[in-house]
Amino acid sequence: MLFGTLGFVLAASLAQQPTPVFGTPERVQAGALLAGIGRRYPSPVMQDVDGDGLADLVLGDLYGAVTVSKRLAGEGPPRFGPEEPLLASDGTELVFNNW
Amino acid sequence: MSPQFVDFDADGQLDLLAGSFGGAPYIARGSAKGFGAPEYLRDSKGERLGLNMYWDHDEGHWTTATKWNEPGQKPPEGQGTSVFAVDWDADGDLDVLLGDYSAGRIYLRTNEGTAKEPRLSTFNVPIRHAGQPLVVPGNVATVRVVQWDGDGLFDLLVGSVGHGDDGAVYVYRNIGKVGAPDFDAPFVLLAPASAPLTDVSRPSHGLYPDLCDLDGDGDLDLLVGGSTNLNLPERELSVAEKEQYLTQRNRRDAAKEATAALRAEIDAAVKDLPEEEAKLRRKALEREFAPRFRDGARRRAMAEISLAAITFEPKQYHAVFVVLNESKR
Repeated sequence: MLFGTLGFVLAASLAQQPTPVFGTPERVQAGALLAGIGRRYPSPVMQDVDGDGLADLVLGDLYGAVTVSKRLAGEGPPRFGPEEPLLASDGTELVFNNW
Repeated sequence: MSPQFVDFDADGQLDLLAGSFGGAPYIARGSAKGFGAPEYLRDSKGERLGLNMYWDHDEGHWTTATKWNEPGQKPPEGQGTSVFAVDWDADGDLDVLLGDYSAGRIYLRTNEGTAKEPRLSTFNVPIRHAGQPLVVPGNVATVRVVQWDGDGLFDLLVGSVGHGDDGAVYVYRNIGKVGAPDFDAPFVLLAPASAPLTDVSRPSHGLYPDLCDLDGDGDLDLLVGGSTNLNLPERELSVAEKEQYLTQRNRRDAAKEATAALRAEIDAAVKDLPEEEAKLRRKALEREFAPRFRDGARRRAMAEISLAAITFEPKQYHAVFVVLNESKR
């Protein structure tokens, strides 16, 4: 699900860099579900949250929730675990005000 | 929202910055125990940050302000829904960029304090190009700072909202100097959709990008979330689909009623108080009730109805995509 093979050029050339060639957009899987499903305007950022040296998939969304899908160890294309709430220091779900 | 993990106050702990649709950036301060509750990111006078339109939590409505305008300037009405911290002027502390959801500008709040004691300036200075404020086509869903071309200068990665279905991802290459950024014309990383979408093949509205080397081949890949606005004919639901949809809708309605009950509780507590006292008491109660408003079960119920809506009434499909950089293949 993560990787596509049909390459096409999405971008024009850069003066100081060879023309980047990007593949087709592919949905990202998080555990058994597609990442961001059921949320609104998921905003991803890669960050090693658990300190295992692998960048995890962190998702914010319009409602202010923040989840972490831990990158699973192993060779090959990156695989991510299910979306789990990022917890605050008091153990509650970290949720930002949206409004 | 577009979170950023960054040690904003140089205390050795990562903090979490996030924008909000209400127009205020927030910070959850990190400590050895984890993140604290999100709070306003504030300027040197202790005021929340914002552009010139925002949601007023005290009054409970949208409002406009000119007090944060650059002196002598009258910017278009802007809604600051994204935030990113970066050492813009290379003086060793973090400044803040605010992305404008409604007019497409990017504003700077300079840190006039130190790395350990940030004091953000009290007005918004637009990032300029060739003497004019830089304006992102389709306005700003989020802005991030990246190292795109490895020239030692940071570049800007911007996801646009889009007017309808033409959201896109742009890179603005920094062609200035260290401490004095200037930017080239935008480089299109993910172009606007060329036609109305009939499948979930890419996001088309409200694009939130990040760049990272996902496949470990030494170049930057694009990760992008957002909405795919679908152009599909309506269809009749099956009996089973209707049943599932109604079940989820009922749970959503129950969650809404729980929220309304909390609001009613606050209303009842302040209704007999004098106006100013009522305002303060309301604010205090909203803070006290915040964990209940943010209750995870309620959020999940709201998410479920969104899931049902995209399953049975597909109009907007919110998703995360990866677009691999295949230049080295």
